[in-house]
Amino acid sequence: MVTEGILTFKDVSMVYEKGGMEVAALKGLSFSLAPGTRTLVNGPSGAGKTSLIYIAGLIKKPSAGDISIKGISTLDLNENQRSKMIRNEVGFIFRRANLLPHLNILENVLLPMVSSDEDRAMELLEIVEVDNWNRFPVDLSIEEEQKVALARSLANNPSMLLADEPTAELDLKATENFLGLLKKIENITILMTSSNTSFSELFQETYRLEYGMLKFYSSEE
Amino acid sequence: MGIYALSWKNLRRNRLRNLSTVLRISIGAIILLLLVSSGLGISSFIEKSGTSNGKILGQSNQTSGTNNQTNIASDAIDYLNSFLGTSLTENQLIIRLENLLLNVVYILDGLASVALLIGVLGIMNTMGFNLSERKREIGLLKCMGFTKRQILISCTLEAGLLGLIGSIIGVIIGTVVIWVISAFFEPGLFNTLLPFWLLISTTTITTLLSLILGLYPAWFTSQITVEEALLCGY
Repeated sequence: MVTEGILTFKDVSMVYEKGGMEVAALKGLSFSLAPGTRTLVNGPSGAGKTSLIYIAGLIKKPSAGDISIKGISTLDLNENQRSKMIRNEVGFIFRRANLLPHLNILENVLLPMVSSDEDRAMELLEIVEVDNWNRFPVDLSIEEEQKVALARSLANNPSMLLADEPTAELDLKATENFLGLLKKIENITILMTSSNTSFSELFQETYRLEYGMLKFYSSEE
Repeated sequence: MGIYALSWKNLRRNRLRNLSTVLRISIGAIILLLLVSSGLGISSFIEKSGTSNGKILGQSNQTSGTNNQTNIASDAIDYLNSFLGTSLTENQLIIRLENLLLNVVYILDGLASVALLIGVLGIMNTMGFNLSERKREIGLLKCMGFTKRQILISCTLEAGLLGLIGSIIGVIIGTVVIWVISAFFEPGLFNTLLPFWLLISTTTITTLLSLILGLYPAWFTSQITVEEALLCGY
């Protein structure tokens, strides 16, 4: 049963063409994420986790089905409307931080802001426990880079945070720290993918994605 | 952060490459300024000397009124006729000389345009390199809600800024060079004119050309899909 939440998938499918053959990355996904919930999608490599994040974040259009963000269908949005919705409602974190090398930490966090708010950027950097904001990405460890990427993803106070395997390149301790930070974030719906199945306890809901289908899920309740 | 601020900050990266582009544009602007300025100087010289129908020598004859000068003029005409294998009158020769000088002016203007174009063409190269290295960054900007149009504007603006900086440096150096040359040569030997409109138009043309030439790599980059962009470097 699909109820309206921050993010709602209605029978969403994604089909790629690869070597002249059609490959189904996602097959008829339907689910809804309630405001402020943390959801984990587990699955092996090639299961369609990245496609799920891209589609949820309006970067890609699904081959079939509809995605609603805050109850608004995204099916008929034009490019500008999609970009505006991404900017206002979605924060992304990827496997790599992708910080701009010529901008310092503070500037990287300011980057997505519609109007630069340094106080907000500093506040976010304090939340993710990164200091010396004049440093450049080249001076940061991978963990610090990912923390800055987290701060950057929250810059516009989005309603949902989409994280595509953000811990894949972190060591165990850094992963723990990063997940601890995710837990500290409140009032934002988090959807994270990972091939690691041991994070489930930190999330209220866990889905398993295999061969493009959500096989089962577990819930805290 | 606005796209304009981002364009400005993007100039910080690849400093050596950007510097060499600015240098090429500056050299183009200097050559343009020098050649157009001397072309204007020649044109002005022709006008001041009295452009039509042999007034130069005629005036010289009237003002001096000496037989010696008349003989020199007559000898010069004879020499030119024998050199060219013609039997032209004084007026016809002067008209030919004027046309020749005007052709020199046109050639100088043409050379100036080519020099500027070669300088500014470097911007296409630089922007192409700069942007191909930044595919992931472009993908990231799209993930932050930047539209294709904003990315296009940002990248084109970057090219325009390189052009503007290069042209300003070129105009300043070119002006100094023209002043120095004018100071060393006797008046009439090296004629240059440096009107204010030439400085402004050199800066404007160079910047506009840079913007136009930066447009293609910028457009090409803005079309990259996020997936394609984020996979770069993996």
